Amino acid sequence: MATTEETQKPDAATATDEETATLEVFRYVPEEDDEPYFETFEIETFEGMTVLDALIKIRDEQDPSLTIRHSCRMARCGSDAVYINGTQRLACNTQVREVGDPVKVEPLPRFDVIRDLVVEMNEFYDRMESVEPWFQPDHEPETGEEYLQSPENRRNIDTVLDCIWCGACTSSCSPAATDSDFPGPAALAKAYRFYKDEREGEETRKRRLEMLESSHGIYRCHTQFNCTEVCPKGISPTEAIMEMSRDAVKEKLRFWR
Amino acid sequence: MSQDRRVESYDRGRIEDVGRWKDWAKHKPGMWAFYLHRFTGLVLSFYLVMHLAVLGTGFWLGHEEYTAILQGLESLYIVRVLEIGLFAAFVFHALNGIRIVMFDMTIGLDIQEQLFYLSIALSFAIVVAGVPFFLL
Repeated sequence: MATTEETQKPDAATATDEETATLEVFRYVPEEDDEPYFETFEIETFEGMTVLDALIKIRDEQDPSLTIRHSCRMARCGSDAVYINGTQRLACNTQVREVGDPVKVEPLPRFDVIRDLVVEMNEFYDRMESVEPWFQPDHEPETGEEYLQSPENRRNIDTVLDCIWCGACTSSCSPAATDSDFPGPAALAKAYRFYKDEREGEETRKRRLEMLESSHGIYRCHTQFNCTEVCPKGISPTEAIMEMSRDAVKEKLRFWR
Repeated sequence: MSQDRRVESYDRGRIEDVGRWKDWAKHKPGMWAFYLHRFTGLVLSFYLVMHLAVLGTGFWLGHEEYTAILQGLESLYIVRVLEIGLFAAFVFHALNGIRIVMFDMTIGLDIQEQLFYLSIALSFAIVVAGVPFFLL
């Protein structure tokens, strides 16, 4: 064994710098560890390898106990949002060779850790639910009609509809971290999606706005643009929040109309 | 809402929640604009307290004492340098404040980075132009 390794080494040595990557992975196994720690893995990389590929490779070849949520591997399901070298990103959407060496992989900041890179998402889902992200029309359409939406109205919500509930923005948002009653960028972008929907009618629109403009609502946004920077789908929750808060202020300051 | 459905998990603590200071180098322009705005805001409010204290001497002690104190302060070089700092804080806070008000009116949200750099560049230019007035 040792001899074969030695004979192969000179060949591999020239390519090592190119083809290997060091991954520092956050590890925490509740049954075994009192405190989380970082474990370093050396892996061979290939052109087009994503961080998720690398983590799966580690799990396959080096440590089968490494735990990470993943499903579609193509940035559609949003289950593998992690913190890579200081930024919230989707592991499946990040090239190992582009993020620099070593690659430091942590679970989403500000979320509680269940195990390794798996975080507690129920708090995030509670935030999402707090804005009532479901269709609530004022009235039924007349018999035989459908709920029709004009193409112009649909275009308003084109970007926010892409949200995959990965939690990256809420993890990056400092007002969301300090105020657990603040729905956070993802939930507010979701609220914007229904707020802008013309089929819901004026009454629901007003009710939604009133619900959002509480002291823990839209005005908590400090326009730090962290959510916009990290969103893997290119959504700008800041824009959605600012548009709603502009409307809310206009609604309150009626004297010039 | 439904706290009961939460799974048992490791809370990484308040510092971890709020700070993330160890990754300050990765912070984006929008975040730096926020930090600078808060910092200059604190500088200005701290100055306001000192300003009122100095003005108060004119009220409590009288004209001559007030003039003497002010001349004494202005003769110190360090005070003039600090005044430039105050001016810089004021100019940046004002320009970035305009940027934030623009966001409230949903103007320029897609060019927020450029607007931040613009406010930095403009405040730098204004402060450099203002230096002679403070040091002469």
